Amino acid sequence: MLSCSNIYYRYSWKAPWVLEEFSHEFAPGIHLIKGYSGCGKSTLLRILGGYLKQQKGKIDIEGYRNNGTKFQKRDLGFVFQQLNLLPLASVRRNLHLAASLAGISRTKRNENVDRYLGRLGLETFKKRLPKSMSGGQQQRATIARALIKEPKVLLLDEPTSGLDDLNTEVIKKVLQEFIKDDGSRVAVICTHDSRLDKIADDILDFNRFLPMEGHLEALA
Amino acid sequence: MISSILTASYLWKDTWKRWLEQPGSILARSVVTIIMVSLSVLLLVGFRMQIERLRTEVDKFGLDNLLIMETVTPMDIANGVPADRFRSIHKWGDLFTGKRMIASATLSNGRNTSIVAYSDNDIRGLLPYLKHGHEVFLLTNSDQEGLVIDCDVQDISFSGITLNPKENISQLIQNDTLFIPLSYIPEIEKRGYAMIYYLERNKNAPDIPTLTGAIQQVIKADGNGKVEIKSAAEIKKKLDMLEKKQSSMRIWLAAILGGAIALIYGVLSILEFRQSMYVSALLKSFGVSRIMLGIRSVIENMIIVNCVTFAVIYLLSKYHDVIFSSLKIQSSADINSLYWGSETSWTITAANVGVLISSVPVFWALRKQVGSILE
Repeated sequence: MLSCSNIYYRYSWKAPWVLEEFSHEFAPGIHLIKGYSGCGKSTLLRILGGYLKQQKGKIDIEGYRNNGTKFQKRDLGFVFQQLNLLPLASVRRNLHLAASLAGISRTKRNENVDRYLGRLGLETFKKRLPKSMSGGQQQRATIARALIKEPKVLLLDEPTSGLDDLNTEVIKKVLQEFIKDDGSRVAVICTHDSRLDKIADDILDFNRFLPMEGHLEALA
Repeated sequence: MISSILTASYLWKDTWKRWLEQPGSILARSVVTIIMVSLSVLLLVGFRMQIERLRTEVDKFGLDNLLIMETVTPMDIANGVPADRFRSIHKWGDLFTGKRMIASATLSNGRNTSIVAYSDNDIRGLLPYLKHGHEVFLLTNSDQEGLVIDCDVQDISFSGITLNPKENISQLIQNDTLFIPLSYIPEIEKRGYAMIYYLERNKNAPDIPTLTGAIQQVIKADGNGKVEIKSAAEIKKKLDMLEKKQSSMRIWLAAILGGAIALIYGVLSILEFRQSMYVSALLKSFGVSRIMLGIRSVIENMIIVNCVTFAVIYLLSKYHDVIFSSLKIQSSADINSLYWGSETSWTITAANVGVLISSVPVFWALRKQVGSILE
């Protein structure tokens, strides 16, 4: 469904490689990428989503020639670490905008808005602006925005970071249901949060790609 | 379609919020536009007025006409300077001659008029007027033809009729002019006069510049320089030069106006873009195209530049008379055609091109990858 082969990435030509000859195949299901800060988890996620262009290597997505705009519009749900909602649009309008860009019909859009806001416990917040909501509520709304177009690929960067157990449980449940609803969906989640381990079909340890000398010296 | 409407409506909301929060940014752009457009429009309109004035003069004078006015002083008369030395040009066309006297006549209604005295030699050009049977006649545009008039010239009374000037000499007769045989007022001639020769050139005669050259040769040879030669060819020359200058001025003004707008708007747009960079990146991550996000900047600046430009042009046209009379520039040109014609379309186009150029850095900045902006 989603795979990458021989990926190389660095932020500038002087900097060391963040990802070097990285290959992996993401089968349908939930994949967790775990590792220390700076190990390249978020970078990989943005490369998979087509938001960063790798210097070398290839991303393959079933049904698409590349991970460009067409894929991003229709079949990619992405949750960034910060600023995921348009600040001047209500939650409902945020969801509608993402769904309409994906080409989802009006009826289906309305249906999905109600469904995902309901699943994430946000029915009463749909007319609210992001700034009038708590961090947890905003994060749930962000996930609803990513799910609204029912994408084949879901990429989430620290979706539960800083959230309480209740909010985390809601998100876990919704993600599990979303992946189960359609057996061909892939979710890749970058996280430090061990509370998500239970829902993972596969955990990718990124620490093995990171030289640890610096960390060990700091501890000594 | 719906996605474009939703995106456009969000972008408009974002722009509007920014305008309300930072009115200084609109104000800066407006002030630059007001100054540059005002200067540009005033200069171009001023030029156009000069051109229109000369064009009217050429039309009025006629391209085949030549006016020679020779001032003859009492001393010249005493020295026997030949006053009729240019009469021979009659062979090149229809010649109207007469002596404009220094004295004036008073009509019975109290109005003063200038006097043109004519001798037997001048009768040929006056035949259309003399055929009415009156040797004394008042050429006037204000009274109807055929009215009997009484007038006094230096305490001598005469009677005559009113006639309207024919088209060919209408530009010579700006105000009421009394025509009277020279023999009736011989004493007045001695005070000095201006000898008028007004030639309507035949088609097979030498052209006006050649005739002018020949006359200037005669003046040079005689050594008497109190002669004024006026022809449309001279005015036309001036007009052509002015039109040439106008073309180059248009290009320079357009370049300066467009350049200033591109610079100021470009700098402000890129600063504003940096403020809304995250929202743009987020919209891009949803799949909104770079073109659409860039066009937001173009439309925003076009709204400002066009609203301000049209308002400035409207106000300048409304206060046209006040502005140009204080600058002592007169023109009979139609105000609407001055302000809503080629001059302003040139300015409006330059301003809009400036806006398009100012958006280039924004489009360039939008090339930045979403993943390097959003975390």
